[in-house]
Amino acid sequence: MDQAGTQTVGILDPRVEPELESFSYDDQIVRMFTLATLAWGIVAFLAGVLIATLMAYPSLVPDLQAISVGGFEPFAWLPGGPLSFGRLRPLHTNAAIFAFAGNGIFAAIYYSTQRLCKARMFSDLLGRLHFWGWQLIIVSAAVTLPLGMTQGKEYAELEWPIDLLIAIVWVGFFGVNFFMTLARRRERHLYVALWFYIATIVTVALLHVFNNLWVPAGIVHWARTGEAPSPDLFMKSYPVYAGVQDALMQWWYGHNAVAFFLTTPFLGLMYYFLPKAANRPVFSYRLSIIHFWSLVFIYIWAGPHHLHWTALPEWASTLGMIFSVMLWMPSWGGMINGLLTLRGAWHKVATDPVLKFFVVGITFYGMSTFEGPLLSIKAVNSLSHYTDWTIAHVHSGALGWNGFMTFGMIYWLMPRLFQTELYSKKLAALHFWIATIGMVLYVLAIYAAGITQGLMWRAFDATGRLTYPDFVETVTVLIPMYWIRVIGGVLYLSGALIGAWNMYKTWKSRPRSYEVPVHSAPRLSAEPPAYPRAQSRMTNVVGLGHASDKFLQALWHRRLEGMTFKFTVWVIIAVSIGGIIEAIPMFLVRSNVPSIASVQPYTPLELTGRDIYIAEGCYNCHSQMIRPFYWETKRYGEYSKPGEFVYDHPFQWGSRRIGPDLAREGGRKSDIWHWLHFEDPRNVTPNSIMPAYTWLLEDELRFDEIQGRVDAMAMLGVPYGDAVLDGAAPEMAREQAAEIAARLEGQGGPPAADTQRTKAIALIAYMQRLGTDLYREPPVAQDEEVEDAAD
Amino acid sequence: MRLTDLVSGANLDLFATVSMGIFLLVFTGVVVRVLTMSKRNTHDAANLPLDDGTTPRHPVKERRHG
Repeated sequence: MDQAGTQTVGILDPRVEPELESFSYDDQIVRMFTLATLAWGIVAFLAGVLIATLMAYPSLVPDLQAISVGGFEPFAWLPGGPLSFGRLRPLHTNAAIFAFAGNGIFAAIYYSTQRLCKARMFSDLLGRLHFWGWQLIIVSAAVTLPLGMTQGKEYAELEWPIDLLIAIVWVGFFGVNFFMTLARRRERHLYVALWFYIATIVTVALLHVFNNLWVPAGIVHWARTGEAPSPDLFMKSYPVYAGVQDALMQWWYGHNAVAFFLTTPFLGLMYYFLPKAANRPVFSYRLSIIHFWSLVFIYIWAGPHHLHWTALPEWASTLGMIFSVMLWMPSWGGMINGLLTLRGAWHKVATDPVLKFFVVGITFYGMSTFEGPLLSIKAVNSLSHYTDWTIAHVHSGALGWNGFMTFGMIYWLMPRLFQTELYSKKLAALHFWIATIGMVLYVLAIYAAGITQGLMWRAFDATGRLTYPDFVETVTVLIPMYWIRVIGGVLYLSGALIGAWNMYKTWKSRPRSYEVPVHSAPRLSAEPPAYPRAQSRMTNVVGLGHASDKFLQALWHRRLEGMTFKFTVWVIIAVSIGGIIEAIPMFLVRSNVPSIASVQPYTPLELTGRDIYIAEGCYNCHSQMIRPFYWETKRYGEYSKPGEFVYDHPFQWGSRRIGPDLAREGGRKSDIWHWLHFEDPRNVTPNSIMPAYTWLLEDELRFDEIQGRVDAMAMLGVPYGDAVLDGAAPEMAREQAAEIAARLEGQGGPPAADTQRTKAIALIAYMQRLGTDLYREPPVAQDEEVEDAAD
Repeated sequence: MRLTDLVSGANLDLFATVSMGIFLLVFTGVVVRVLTMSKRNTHDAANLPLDDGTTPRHPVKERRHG
């Protein structure tokens, strides 16, 4: 575009200074994020393949530890805990979402924002701080998650110090840099890709802050005793929300992390990079506007569909379902807009690997966003929830939409960033095909696994009994499908490795020094263009008609599109409405969580056991939520009530059942059964795929730090009595541990002296408490006791 | 009267009705906006990614590596 053209995008503004300014783009930051994307992508896929293999072959890690070569055991150093499924699964999801997709969207945003704004990023320093800060967050996650330091909330596992770092990096470095770049732009109109980026930045900040309000137990311990807490306790925090409210907040966050971290920035990416790759403008700019506003408004409401048939109140669940179904329309509007952008350019798809990736990526977006609303319909959800169907759905989105859009962008960027030809188009095509085949294998196998599971759980025989009463039967039947998933994952990983090799070879052939083109564009006037006031074209009508006519000319929106601040405010309003209307009644309407008099706080030992349950990531395989279906109550017992979870900071309802539900586990099995089960699940359930937790039988509890945990819970309103708060918690925990250890010994277990200080005892205490409050006698209030005595 | 009392006293239908009303209002506004945009505006806006808007004048060396 020529100089005049630059100024004439939109309505001509006579006050724009004609004087040109020279500037260049900061592509080094894009190179850094692109390299990080690929590197972390390989780590995420590798972790995925590892945990997929652990599900098909659970003794993989112990077997590796036992390998001996002439007496030398090369893998003996492998620790059991950090490589167990429960700890590695969050590592995989966090690496895929925040490391791979995160670095990918930053590369896209840094590249396209500069060009769409005709301005260098506001600050190179903020860009570097953002990059290194984000990598530090990822490394911190990679260290803390395998060590069992987790908040126990899916996709929000990272503990409070890392949460603080995320807030600083996201808002202080990335957000400031982005919005200041918009403020200094030389293009008046904000292209639709930038709208999606704005929505991403403000909404992720809101989600992150409101879902990560906590009380750190280590700080409470330090304030009380003046002693430094252990690393475990220092990192430990409890969310301010409990039970039903925590579940609503978590899935408001969880669903919208998908929306505003894995969807909106990728749509921005699509709206910029697809037209570039196809060399034609987006099919319909009008459709993109409808797409944007509908999507950001509707998406935020859909979170409760993750909690259908749970203890969440019916109204919230139904509201989530309705908005989820509505979401289908804008999502498909976006998909159609993307695919039709290729009108007249379809012949290029056959030869251009970039377009290949984009076309399949957008197609997977269409499939995932069809499937999402389908799964949100309550009847469908009753079958799909807690099964592998959800996992297949997530991976069709993550591998197909996020992965392929990212790889397409990287292949488009590679020659431009490294200022040389792509090393091999054939290798890029090979990457495409091998990853596509891998993805299809993965997704189809896991769809089959999910539907099989769902149907087996609800199957009854002719006599009215469960056809598959042993849960493990519904797991072992899936093993062949899990092996197909491993193969699919290996293929997808192989594709990424081929991509990395292609990038390395391309990078090797870069010029000795990069050329940095200098561009010029006129400075934007400080004042927005003087758009003419709308004049009514109507005659002989009342004032309302005039007002409507002026509104319909829509010059007000034209002005809005040029004003970053006001535009951002409207986006915040659009994304806040859904959250506010769902959250306020949930927190304030008393009937949402009817109280149950017999439900009491966990004892200090049970609370500590619960923290171990969270640290080991048990929620990744076990739910604690019995739905009101006959096939569930028959298998697990009475369905779960909202009032049972009022002291659960955080809630542990889970989202998946690789193992059975544990909501009413208390009292169902003996203590010795649990002990042997932790030692090796195959001791008591021959075909179990659960990992062994041998370290729990040996690791000692820090009784001296239990008081900090109890005090932190008390700060959140959990009514521990004065005796507990006066420092009696450790002693109470010791007493209960001794009782359980003695019971264990009596059931043929190890001597009580050897077990009463172990973590396993605390976990047994928690397991034996689960779901039992409903059947206890409510405690008698003191004044009633006095009255009884008087009688 | 506390906010909890007020919200607890309200019929829950109200929240769903308000939600749908807000959505319809916003959606109508956006559709109106889109239908009334001039072709020139949409054309210019849609072409922004293709016209990075800048013409490289003279490449300069920034930094050396390797």
